[in-house]
Amino acid sequence: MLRYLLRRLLVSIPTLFAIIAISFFMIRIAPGGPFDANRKATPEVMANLNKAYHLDEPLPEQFGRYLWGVLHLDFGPSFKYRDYTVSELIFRGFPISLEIGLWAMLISATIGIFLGTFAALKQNSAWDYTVMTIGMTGIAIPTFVTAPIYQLIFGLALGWLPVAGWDGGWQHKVLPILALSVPNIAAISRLTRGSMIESLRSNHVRTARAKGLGVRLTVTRHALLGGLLPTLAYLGPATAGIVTGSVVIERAFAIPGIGRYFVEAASNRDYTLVMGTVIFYGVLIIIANLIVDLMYSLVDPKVRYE
Amino acid sequence: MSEAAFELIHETDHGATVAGRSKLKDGFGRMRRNKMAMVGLVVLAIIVLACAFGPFVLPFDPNQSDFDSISIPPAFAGGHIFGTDDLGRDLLARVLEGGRTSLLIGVLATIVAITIGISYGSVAGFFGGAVDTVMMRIVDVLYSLPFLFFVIMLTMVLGRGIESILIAIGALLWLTIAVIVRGQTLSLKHKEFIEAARAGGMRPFAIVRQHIIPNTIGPVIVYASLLVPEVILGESFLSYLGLGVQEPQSSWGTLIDGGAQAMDTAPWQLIVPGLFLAATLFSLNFIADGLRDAFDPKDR
Repeated sequence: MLRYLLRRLLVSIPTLFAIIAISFFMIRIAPGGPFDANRKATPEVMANLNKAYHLDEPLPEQFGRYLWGVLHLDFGPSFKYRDYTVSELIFRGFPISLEIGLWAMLISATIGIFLGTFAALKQNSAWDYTVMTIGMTGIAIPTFVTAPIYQLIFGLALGWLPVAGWDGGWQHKVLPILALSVPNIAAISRLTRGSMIESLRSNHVRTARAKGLGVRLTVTRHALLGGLLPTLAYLGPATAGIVTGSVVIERAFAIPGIGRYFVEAASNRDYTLVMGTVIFYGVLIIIANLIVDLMYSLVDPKVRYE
Repeated sequence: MSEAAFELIHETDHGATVAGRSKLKDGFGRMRRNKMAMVGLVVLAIIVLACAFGPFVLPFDPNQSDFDSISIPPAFAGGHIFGTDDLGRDLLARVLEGGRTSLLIGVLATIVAITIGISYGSVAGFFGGAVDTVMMRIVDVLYSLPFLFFVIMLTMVLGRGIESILIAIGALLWLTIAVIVRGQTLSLKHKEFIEAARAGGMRPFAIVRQHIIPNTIGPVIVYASLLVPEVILGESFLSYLGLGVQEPQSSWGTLIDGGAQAMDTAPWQLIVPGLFLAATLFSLNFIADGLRDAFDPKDR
């Protein structure tokens, strides 16, 4: 088990390196230097600026410096918010993004698994079709359409919740979490339904029923365990989806999380901040996949860690 | 075998000839019985035709402001069926114009992705060995990158605009196609007709081009149909964030962004482009599902 964990960690190192290298060199080819927006500075000032930010060194040296910094969670200074480092901005936004993301994950997993199992147990009934239609709708309508619609209904028309903004209170969290959860609820319930239908037809479930075990116990003890494996595996990609979704949600609801910094940085050409956030997101997704893989190997005896 | 002998095979006991059944015909036959897929096909056809020809028929120019009719709600009287925006531009005209951009990017970026994916996957699978290992390892690494963030970085490098979105999305969405085509190639490359081509002295790249790739087209078509909605969604995502299609050009994403900002006074500006986008994605998903059911032998 420990060896499996170590090997998985080792495998993610080249991926991480690739993310850092690709971001670094891609940004270096991007047109325009970070100080072009300034008033026409004298050549001496430009030279000093470049020197202060180590932009006068050869590229491999700069890359080495950046890599070394990243290992120490130092992503350099933000080119736009001059008083902040990229790390400060990331760690200011991250707790907010994390809170919304975790809630969304928890809610979509719980409701999604429940709905999927329910639909599988009532396969081809009106309930089943209702759940699946909702699922299709949830997947097909993107969050940047649903989020404003929720704001319109719950914020403006009904006046139950604030339309946007952030003060840390729960009222400001409900709509963003709802908007972020619905597509994942849809995806997870579809997935769970499919695998549960298969699981319910399998031999060991039939045997359990045949020896007189009740429906409820058969489902919870025997069918669910096998039926939830694909759902568990989906939680890795789901994290990536929630990360991407949070970018939209944070813009729609004016939430000061990392996603908003990222979008602002991308439109301001704040290159260090863009690089920093992309690498941070990459690490996050790698960690999520690692956790999912580990959970999977714990649950599924067929996964061997040779 | 002579022409006559070939005819004989198709002759039944009663002497009636039976038409040959091709896989493709069989598949489309099954597809035709799938109601949801057919509804999707019809809805998509209507949207595509409307976007293609609507701008020529409509009496309104999508970029022409009419300051006498600013932000009027949808109504049949006055001709603005879907209302106007806060600059008095007809919303239907704008949605159709934006749809051209979105659909065009959807199709073109998919073609880019398919082209890269097929070439990459077939070469990796056919040459095998170290080439295959290295190429697939690269795919593994690229797979774990957060896709849309790299698209955004790539558009920063290439400059904003339709062309760079096309290239950025196409350059990053080919991975799954490459994996599928590689798998197909692996199962094809030891077949007799490939052996024959090899024995006949055909060069490896020519074999890949003329014998391998045409035989992988089936699954590629199915997957491409799944890719189109993904591309359209990605493009709208970027444009919604203000990082995609730029003024004066518009797409469904930019229209939804504008609509979201005008939502409290003119909700139709959000709802109309949102509905068009959702209907398109719905239809494409149903068509893709139908194609997969009809052509993927595993699920039958």
